[in-house]
Amino acid sequence: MAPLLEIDGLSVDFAGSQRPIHALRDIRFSIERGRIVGLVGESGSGKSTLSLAVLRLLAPSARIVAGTIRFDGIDLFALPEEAMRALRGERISMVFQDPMSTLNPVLTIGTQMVDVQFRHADLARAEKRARAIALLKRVGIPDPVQRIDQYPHQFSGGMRQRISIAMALLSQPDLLIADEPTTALDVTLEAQILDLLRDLRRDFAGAILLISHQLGVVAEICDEVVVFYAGELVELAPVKELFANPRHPYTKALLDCDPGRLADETRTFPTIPGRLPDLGEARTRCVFAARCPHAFERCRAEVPVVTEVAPGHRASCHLLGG
Amino acid sequence: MSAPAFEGTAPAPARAPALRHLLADPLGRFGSALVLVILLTAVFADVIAPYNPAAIAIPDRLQGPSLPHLFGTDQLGRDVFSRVVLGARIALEVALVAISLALVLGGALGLAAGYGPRWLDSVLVLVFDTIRSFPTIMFALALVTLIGPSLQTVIVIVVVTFAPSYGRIVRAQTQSLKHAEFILAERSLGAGAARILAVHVMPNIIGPLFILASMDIPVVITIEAGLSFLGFGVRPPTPSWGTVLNDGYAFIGNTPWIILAGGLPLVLSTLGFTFLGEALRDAIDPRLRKEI
Repeated sequence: MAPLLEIDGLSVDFAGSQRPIHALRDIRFSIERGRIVGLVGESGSGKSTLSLAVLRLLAPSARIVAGTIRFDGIDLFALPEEAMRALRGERISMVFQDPMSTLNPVLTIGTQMVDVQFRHADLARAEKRARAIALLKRVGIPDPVQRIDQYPHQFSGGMRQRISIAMALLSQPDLLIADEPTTALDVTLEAQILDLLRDLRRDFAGAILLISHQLGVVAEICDEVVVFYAGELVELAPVKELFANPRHPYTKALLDCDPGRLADETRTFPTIPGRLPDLGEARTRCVFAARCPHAFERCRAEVPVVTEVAPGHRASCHLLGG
Repeated sequence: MSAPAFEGTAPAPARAPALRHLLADPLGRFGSALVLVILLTAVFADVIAPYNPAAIAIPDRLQGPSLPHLFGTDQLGRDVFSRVVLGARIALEVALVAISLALVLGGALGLAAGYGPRWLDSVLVLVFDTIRSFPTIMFALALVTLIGPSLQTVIVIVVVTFAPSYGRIVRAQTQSLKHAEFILAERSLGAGAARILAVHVMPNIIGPLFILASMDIPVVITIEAGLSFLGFGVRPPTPSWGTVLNDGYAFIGNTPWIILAGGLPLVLSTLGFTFLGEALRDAIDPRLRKEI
């Protein structure tokens, strides 16, 4: 069976003042049904661009230069806008980073959750409301019957994120994209939201693409991890394999910087020296070459090819003999 | 001792805090009272007016204020009080109809400009600014010359001059909301442009827009009176505050009460609606709300 989401050779440019900025270059990976795939990378590595590309909601300044995205066998870029809109919220849903701004401040959450079921003309308003209440209960909102008529500002951040998740799940989507759903929350709330996502996977048959820059989050609930660096996919592996045996120098460096894995006596946080490459540059070498401790001649002269180092474990590095 | 008082006041804030704030403000109370009086006068004008405002009685012309004629009579012996009372109806009719139409038209164009493609925005803003660059009176004179003076002409003039202002405000608000995260979230759940504008953008901008409109009502009343005074508005014998002023103007030397009778309601309605609008704005905007 074909994977649920298949991204093949995706490249996205943003219009820059002088030259285009390459936000994503030649991204290739897929998500199977029922899996949680983590997407890790620094700010600006193209994580959110990828999620918006899947929904075809990129800003007008973005341009898809190459590649295809297939969702359940459907070529998303070939789809007319109307058909694409029918997929959004129905089969692909998204939860955004900041729960403080993803709900309309002037409408009660009940109004918003009923309105979002606009496709179900067959359901009466009361039934839509009942579904909304059931889902609020499912995501752990206490007293959903009373609270459904409250406004977003009457809920805490964690509750609002649960409401956003409930809204995204109203139509039982096949794919849920969660773009840093816990970044704006504190640690206890984060744990609750992650538990919720894990539970949800059991109930619904779909897949989750979890975008994060926190390795701890990914380690906890994902099956597979995709690592982005400067708009390129540098490594992809099952979660245990990636944490036990990272093959790309960037992934190794990233793991070494994870506060959760540091020894207690460390007094300073380790960092990766150097900075992100200029995304406007043409692609002539390894993106990580400038910061890589193992870089050699070839890294600065040639783009590495993706090498399969173990079943389901790919990395793009010259050191792997590619 | 205080327990019963608490029981009595506790539910009130939950119901209508805006109304409570409005009535707590002395200017708000004064404005609401004036507006209420004007509204009631306009609604019950037929009952209140003691005479037919168009009934001519030459022998009784230019009488001073008396019990049968509270504001005296004009040069044709018509009862000025009756004319002022019925004038309130014309004034409010023009103001409410014209502002509602301007809100609908300007709002729709503003939404289209703010949410639609860039070229549409450019075209609409050009149209808005072109209209706004004309002085209202010049535009009014041109239109009156073209289609003749009437109540409808006044309404058209007001709609055309006010719609661009509302359009610009709605456009600016829509543009800032367009990039709000919750709009992107709605789009990611499959909402189309019409749904986003009607369900999510409109409720966010309607409040301030209504306050603005309520503060424009006296401006429109003044425009109607001004045009009628110049003879470009409602035609005699229809009573309007402007035509009353015009009738009195010729006799200002010996019978000043006609001018006063036509001018006072203008002043009071302007004050009333302005105070009400300002108090409403303070009451609805929590940032301006004074703690009480």
